[in-house]
Amino acid sequence: MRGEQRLGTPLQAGRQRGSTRPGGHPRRLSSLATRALPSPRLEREGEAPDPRFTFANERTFLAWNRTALALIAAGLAAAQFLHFHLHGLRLLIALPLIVLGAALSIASYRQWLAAERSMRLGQPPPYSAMPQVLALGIAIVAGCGAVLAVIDRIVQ
Amino acid sequence: VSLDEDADPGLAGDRTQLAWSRSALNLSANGLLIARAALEANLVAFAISATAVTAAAALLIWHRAELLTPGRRRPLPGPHHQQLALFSLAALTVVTAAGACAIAVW
Repeated sequence: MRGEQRLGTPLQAGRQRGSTRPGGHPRRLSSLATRALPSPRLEREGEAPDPRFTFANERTFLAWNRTALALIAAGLAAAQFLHFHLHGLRLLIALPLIVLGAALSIASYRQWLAAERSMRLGQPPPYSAMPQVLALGIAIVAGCGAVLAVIDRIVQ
Repeated sequence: VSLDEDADPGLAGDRTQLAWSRSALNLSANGLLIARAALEANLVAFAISATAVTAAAALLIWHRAELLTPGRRRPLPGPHHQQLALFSLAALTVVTAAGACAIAVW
């Protein structure tokens, strides 16, 4: 047991209150993340949850962030490889995808923070509109792509 | 908190580590796509910047994955470190999106 708590056992609240800094990050750098959002530091709120739940929340954030990166890559590919007869039409597909990716990345970080906070406070997980926004965004871009393809065909 | 293999039958640490690796690959692919497009447009400084962002992301992700390695003797980092890592990844993604926008418009 090595004198440390194992996964699956309740954590003592004082263990992760920032008394030690195992990662060894300078305080100035690490406070940047918390200053970016108008919220108090996480370790001051509630009690540390089971690490498995924290890891699950982290993986969910990473999955959303990969989705955001995939949207950015798709937008970049649209800008690079789509060729319409009307100049600039490809931007109507590329830019919304890239902007949606950036927005999704910010939203996923906020969602992770909200979920982490609710876990620490023992509250139910927060509602997220990200799946609906993503589905709607992709549907709109796909619809625009189809319309632009028809317009490009007519112009040709 | 430790991450002993016998105390973590669900391999949460391993799965999180792999998730970070997949994110690293995604971010690297985006950075290289932007760098390639920038080089084609003769924007050498832009390409170098994109590569630097990719390298920064790789360093961040390597550091986070190393901390999550199962069986390590040191304790897991606290929520502050986790928050910094996730914020940095989100920020790098937004920077990547800005670079992609610039290249697309160019």
